[in-house]
Amino acid sequence: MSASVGIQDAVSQSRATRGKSIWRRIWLHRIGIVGIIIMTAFVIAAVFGGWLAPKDPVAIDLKNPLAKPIWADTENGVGFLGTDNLGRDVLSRMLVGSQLSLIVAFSAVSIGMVSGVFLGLLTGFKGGKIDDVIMRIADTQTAIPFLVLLIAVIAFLGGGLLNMIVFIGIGSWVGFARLIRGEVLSIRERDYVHAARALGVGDLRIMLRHIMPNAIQPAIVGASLAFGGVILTEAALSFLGLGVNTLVPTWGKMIADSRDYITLAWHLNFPAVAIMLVVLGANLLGDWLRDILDPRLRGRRG
Amino acid sequence: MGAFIVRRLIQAVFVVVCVVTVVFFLIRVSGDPASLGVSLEENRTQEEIEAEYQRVKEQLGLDRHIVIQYFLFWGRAAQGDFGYSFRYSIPVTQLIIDRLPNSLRLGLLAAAIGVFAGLPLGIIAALNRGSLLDNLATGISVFGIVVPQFWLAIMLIIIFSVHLGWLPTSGTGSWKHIILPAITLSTGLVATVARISRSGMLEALSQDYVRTAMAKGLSQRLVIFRHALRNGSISVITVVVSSLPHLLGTVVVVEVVFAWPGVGNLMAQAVANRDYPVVFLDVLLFGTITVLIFLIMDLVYAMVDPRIRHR
Repeated sequence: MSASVGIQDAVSQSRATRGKSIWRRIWLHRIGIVGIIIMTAFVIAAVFGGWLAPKDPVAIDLKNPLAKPIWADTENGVGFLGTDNLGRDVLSRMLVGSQLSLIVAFSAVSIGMVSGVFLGLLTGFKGGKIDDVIMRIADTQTAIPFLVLLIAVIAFLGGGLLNMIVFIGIGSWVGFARLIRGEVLSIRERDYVHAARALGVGDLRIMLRHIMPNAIQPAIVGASLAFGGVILTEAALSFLGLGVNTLVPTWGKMIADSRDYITLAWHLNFPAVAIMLVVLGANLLGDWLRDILDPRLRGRRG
Repeated sequence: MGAFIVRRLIQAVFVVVCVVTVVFFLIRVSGDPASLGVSLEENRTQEEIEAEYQRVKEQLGLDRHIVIQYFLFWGRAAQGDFGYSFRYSIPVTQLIIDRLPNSLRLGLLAAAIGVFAGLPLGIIAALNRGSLLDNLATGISVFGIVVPQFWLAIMLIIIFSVHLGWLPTSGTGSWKHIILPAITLSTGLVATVARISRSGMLEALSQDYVRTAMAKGLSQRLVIFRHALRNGSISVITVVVSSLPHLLGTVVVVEVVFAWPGVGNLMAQAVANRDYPVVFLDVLLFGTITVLIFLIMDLVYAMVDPRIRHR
């Protein structure tokens, strides 16, 4: 009797504090909320960029090269973020450029995560020969620095949007596979897995229904962090001239193009600021996800 | 210990062989290297071009079956022959050997900056937890993670070369030339080392042996350096070593921006010129260095921690 009252007390108490502390909890997670806001803004910019862009992003206007933003120079300024060396509107180019960054980052991370999680499940669960073979492949791949590997593969097999997505995606499976494999190794000996097997549940079903939901959390956090990494990688490749070879501007290409003019026009740094903001957003989101997904870390503050 | 070293060596060699095999076949499926070796000068007849194409093909051994080519490759590689550069017409090995010291110098300096700037940053942040210094250190390490290196390089050039005129914009020559590239290359490492040493220090400071040492009346400096730092150093070493492949990747970008004559810059140029023998050996070099780094790390660990040897 007294025990159940105690539990009820505890329950109602925790409810009360939970109700009261919603602002407090938002404050506790303020970093994560900043991350969510940044990422939401980025996704909106990318999805609606084509409509939001005030001007044609590739229209050249040689009468107004390197014009300052309108709010910095009310007389000669052109556009909200100024123009580049060919008089193209920086804001419009950035909005359209975010589309490509998002497509590349989202698709590449998806490919990496799906293949990595599947192979991680397989190696961790099956062990033996499959484990040996897949992990040796992983070793081989990590032996070559990622950017070097990408440059080489793009040089040999050609660039383009689809190739870049596939290469970066396949390139990032190892991280996910290692994360998942580590989790699976400890989970596969748990009682509920043995119980499921005793009931005659098949391997595939055990892997997908019983093990994966319990092993997936680090991969979700990893996906968020990988997202930022892919944005940086894509920008670096574009900068080296190995990125998506189209008229469509990308942030990395914009920085590369404006390299010689950056001393003349500070507003050409906006693409770099955008890259940093998005990578920051992805990292903040990742940290926050780790906090809320892993109860052991809850309440612990860096 | 002996058995462990042998086992680990075999594993490392195996990985290098795998890398060679993968890159070898990757090049062969990617198209016809012989066509790239033919110079397409004007005023040449179709027959002349055709003849040179055949000659290049034979010279590269591309008229043989691919499996035979693969083993012939190993035969030549054993003699240190990795072919000639399409562009410079000198042995690829010579090109790489000429540039490798530059890259090693740059990489080692960047690694040193990473450790000797990141470590104090993390320790000071941990000792002054929650203070302005701590926030500043956190800010620096966040910046180091999110900043695109190529943009940072441009900014450093503008500030220190164009405006202040203290350092040269690019190239090599004096000791001044290496400063900006090394700083750019080290940013990611500084950030990571600072973050890890901060959290490692915080953990060490809460341990019993540190509290005991404090209670004994040892000076704070002695406690930090003798007790806390020594125990936290393993995790810092791990982080430094495991972020080296990433550092090696950024070498390419940094060397390009600063026109630093290293192997990374060579690779970027070779890619642009479709000089595939150079790209091939360069990738191999990066792979071998990475494998070596991890091999050395494992051996050092095994020396320090006897438990690892028996795994």
